[in-house]
Amino acid sequence: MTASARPVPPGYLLWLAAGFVVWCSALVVLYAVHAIGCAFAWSAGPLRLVLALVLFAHLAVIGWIWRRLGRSHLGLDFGRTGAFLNGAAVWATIAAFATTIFTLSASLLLTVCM
Amino acid sequence: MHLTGLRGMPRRIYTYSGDEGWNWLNLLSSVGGFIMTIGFALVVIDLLAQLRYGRRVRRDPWKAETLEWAMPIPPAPYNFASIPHLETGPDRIAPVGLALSLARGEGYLGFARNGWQETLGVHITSGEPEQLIVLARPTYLPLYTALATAAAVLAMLFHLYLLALAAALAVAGLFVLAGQSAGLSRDYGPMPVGNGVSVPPHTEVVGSPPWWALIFALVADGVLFASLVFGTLYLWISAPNWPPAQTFAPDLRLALAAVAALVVAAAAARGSLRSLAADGMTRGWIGLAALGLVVAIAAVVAMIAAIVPRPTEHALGATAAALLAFVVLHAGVGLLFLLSNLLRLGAGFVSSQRSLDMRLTRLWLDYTLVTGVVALGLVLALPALVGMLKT
Repeated sequence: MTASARPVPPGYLLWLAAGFVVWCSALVVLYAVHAIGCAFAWSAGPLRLVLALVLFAHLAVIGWIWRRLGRSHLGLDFGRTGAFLNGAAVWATIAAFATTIFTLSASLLLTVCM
Repeated sequence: MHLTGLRGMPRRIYTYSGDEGWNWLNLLSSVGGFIMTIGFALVVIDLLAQLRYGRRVRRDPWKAETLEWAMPIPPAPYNFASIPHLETGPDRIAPVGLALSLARGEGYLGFARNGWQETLGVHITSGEPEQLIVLARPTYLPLYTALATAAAVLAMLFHLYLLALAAALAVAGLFVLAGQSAGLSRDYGPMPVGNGVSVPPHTEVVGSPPWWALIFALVADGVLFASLVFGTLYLWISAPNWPPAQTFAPDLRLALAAVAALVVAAAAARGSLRSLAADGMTRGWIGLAALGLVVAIAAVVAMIAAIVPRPTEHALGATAAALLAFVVLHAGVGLLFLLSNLLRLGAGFVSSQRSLDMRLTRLWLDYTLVTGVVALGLVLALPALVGMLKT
């Protein structure tokens, strides 16, 4: 950082992990809903719909984080360190968004229950 | 190997007929095995070549510009005499010049004080000096703690449960004992650390290393707790022989009493923290918190005793007992926190400036309350969940 810039608040570091925390939540909730739905023999249509809703809700949250971080002006307020952290957080969030689609969209394509 | 396992290949067989469809996957595993062996061999060859042909050099033989090359080779027993202040990135420095300046003690902490082993704690995003961390003195306590921990685990492996319990209590006692010499026994305020900078010791700041250590320990503990909850629900819908023939009816009054007692303990921890600043009834608040924990432990132990089917007979009883035992364990560790608070308060390690002990206890008891509510709620819900399986 430059000497004139204020230090970035430590709490900002949490944004680095935020996207992947939501990914974790998506994984656990999809797993749970899927297992419970199959154990109690929900019919395939409604179960698939609930799985899709859970997935899209999590994608929406990650998308919101992405938009929020993309619009923040940390670099203006906190100098080089702020700009770097902002960039790192945005890219970590994009990675989480892509990972969520890549690893979890299979729940919309595969057979619902064995 | 994961895929061959999914395709039905058992472990630890040396041959098979060859028509199971495992051949190309095993060939792939063999290729991977050779590649890994080559990797290990390269390290071994490198080690041997260094031993045979390596030449001794002074500092920074490559004229590199990164910080680690400011280190003397071989390192001095104290590693480096002072800590550098870097304005630019750590990859644009002149290591030799910096090394001499550091050796002259021109960086931070280039002097000794009070016989302390000191290091700097810095701001997490800017790197500015924030606190003077006074490290613990060399001690054999970690060794004794490790031996007692090993004894506890080994005794459990050999079914010597009383010995395991005794060793576990010894570990707990050693932790409390370690607390009797940690930290500083008076307020110091900001102290000079070199370069014209003064910072308070770690005992007088909010984000000191023990505080972060407990936060990270609780994150790890929270993952274990989430796994326990997950395991309970997993068994509920996936295990064979569910529902069991008979189901217990958890005592709602005991559960509510336990939660209320945990709330009292967490609130009393706040009281003890506030009373530090007011120089008031700190010991009374600690006693109230301990009373809350003892009541909570008694209520939850009574709940464990009433579990049917018995934990040794069916996974329902075992998971319910494990969830409740989690609460008992954390309340018990909370008692250790309180005991340590009392002892350290008496020994003068705690003041309104040095409130870390009370803040750690508050954090632990808050965590115990939150996980306790979740665990007790899940145990209360278990009979209804099991009932859903019967329909």
